[in-house]
Amino acid sequence: MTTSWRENLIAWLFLVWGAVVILRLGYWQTYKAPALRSLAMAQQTSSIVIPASRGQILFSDHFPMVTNADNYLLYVDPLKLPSNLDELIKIVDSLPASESAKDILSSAPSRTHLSWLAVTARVSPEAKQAINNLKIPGLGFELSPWRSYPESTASAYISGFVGKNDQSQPQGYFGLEGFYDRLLSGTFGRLIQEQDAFGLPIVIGSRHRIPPKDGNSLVTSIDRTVQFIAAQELSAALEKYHSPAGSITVLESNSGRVLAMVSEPGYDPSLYSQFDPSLYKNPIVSDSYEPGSTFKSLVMAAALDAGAVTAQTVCDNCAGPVTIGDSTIRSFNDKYYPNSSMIDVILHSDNVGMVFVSRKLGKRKLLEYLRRFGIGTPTGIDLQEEDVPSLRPDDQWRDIDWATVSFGQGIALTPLQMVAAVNAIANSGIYTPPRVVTSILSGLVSKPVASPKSWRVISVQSAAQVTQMMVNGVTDGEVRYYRPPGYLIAGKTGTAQVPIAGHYDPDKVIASFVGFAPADNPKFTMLVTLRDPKPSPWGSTTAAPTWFNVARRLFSYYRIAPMVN
Amino acid sequence: MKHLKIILILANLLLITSQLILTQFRATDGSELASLETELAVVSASNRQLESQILAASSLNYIFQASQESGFRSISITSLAPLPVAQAQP
Repeated sequence: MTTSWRENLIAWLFLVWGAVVILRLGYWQTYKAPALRSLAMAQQTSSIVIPASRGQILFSDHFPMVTNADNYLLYVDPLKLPSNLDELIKIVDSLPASESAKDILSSAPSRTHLSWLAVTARVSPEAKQAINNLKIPGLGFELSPWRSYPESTASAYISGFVGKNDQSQPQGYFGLEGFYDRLLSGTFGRLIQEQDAFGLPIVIGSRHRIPPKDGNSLVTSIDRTVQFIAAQELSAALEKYHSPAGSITVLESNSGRVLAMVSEPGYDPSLYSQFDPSLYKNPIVSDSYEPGSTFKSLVMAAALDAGAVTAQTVCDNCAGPVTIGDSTIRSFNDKYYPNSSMIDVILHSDNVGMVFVSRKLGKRKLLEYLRRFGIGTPTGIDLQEEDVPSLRPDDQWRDIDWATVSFGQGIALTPLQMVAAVNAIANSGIYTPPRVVTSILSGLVSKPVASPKSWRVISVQSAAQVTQMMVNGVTDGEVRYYRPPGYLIAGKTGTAQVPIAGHYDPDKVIASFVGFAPADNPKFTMLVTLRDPKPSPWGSTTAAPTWFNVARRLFSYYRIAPMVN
Repeated sequence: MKHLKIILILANLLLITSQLILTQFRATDGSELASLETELAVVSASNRQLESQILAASSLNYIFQASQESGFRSISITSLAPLPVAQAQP
């Protein structure tokens, strides 16, 4: 049986068609398989990011200084928005950053080329509920975790803030947030599961969960009661003395740990972008100043320890001003006390007497002791922005520099360096570098942070002698009218002029008082600084009363009873 | 051999039936799982909100303001010097 050409044609057509189908199937099944597989995966599986919490920053009693709170990002679709937004604007008006949010809302109806426009990321759950109740079309929310500060913003300079980096990821800046950013940051998790056409999970399908890793929490040495007291008293002092800026730093005397650290003017870390960036840096660790007479306690401690003077050494050039080169050094009130002892030099805060002390001590020894007191090197505190001025090279100290440094002029340091150095006197002559974080919490596991290495600066006897001089200065000096009766307080006032463009500005001063109490068994060491206080510029009548006001409340808090006499 | 065939066929039928039943029962569980997850998110958010409210109400700022409004006064220390004791005359 022969086949006709028609049958052959049909057979060939089937054959060719079959080959085309096979080739096409092969193309989809092999060549395009990976792309199709990934398309199918994308359609059939969902990948959900499981957010990780950033670690908390806790006070010493584990109450949160910084924690996480839910906030929502409010966005609008301008095409769907109604024309009347008065009710919405009323609610937005009560939100943080309301001005910029209102501007965006007002311009939204005209921006119809957009389908998504962020209004504000600071909508609280309560405000979200209130906005939802308005049932306005074209509004939407996205969860936007935020840092919350339950004890107000007084600790902003300790905590720093969380902003966004160049990849729009959260990143800590300044303070503890900046210093411990990697520890505080968590790692996001992911849930990959099969889903149906409606986007609902298929229970018997595959499911892969990568758990998130929350950030570690930090336990600090900051005592929230002491911090609260310091913040209150600083605000009161700035108001009372019409001072534009000031700070209070309190250290635990025997450990050097920071108990409180407040400075004004401050900023709100949750609204940091609305503040001048120059306010972000903690001035206590990054701004240097000339300490003035408070520095005399350190130089006297050095001279006593080196054996250059004793408490009874008589000053033989204290009868009047001292001339060095073309400069004349006078006392602050132009009063002079001939043949005064070293106790009197501290009591009268005598500049001329301190020049005598520095000459007795010698330049090399003075610089050696200053370095041991931590001057010229960072304290190493765990706050990101620490920045300290270095000491000038040894061969660049002129005679006048050597003389003026003895009463705290011509040398710059940060308030933290100053209080840490005086704390060495309080701590029987041992310098303990100040730190803020005491332990790191990872889940329920607490890992203590190792204490930094301490070193001896002066002997126990020298520390006791200079302590006695400082106690004498408080008991019999100008500040005696303000001190709380019945307490042994060692302290030193300072009124430092502010150098501007090569000379001292006559109208600008930094009044300060540094000391520790109780002097016979110190519990805390504190420094108070006030910038340009009025009407009196003196540390003895502004910073010292503020110091004593804080001390009174700390005595109550620590249950330290006054002595009978 | 014949028995084995019958057993295999029955086993297959049983497995297919089980799969059909299981699929039927679990078909709507995805929706239930999704609603449970939503409910969990709402409860978690509510918990966090309550936690924030507790923290705000137990902050020193709040307690201080509340104490002032309630008429509490700050503690003050009064240092009293002992009275001089009269000397007995011989």
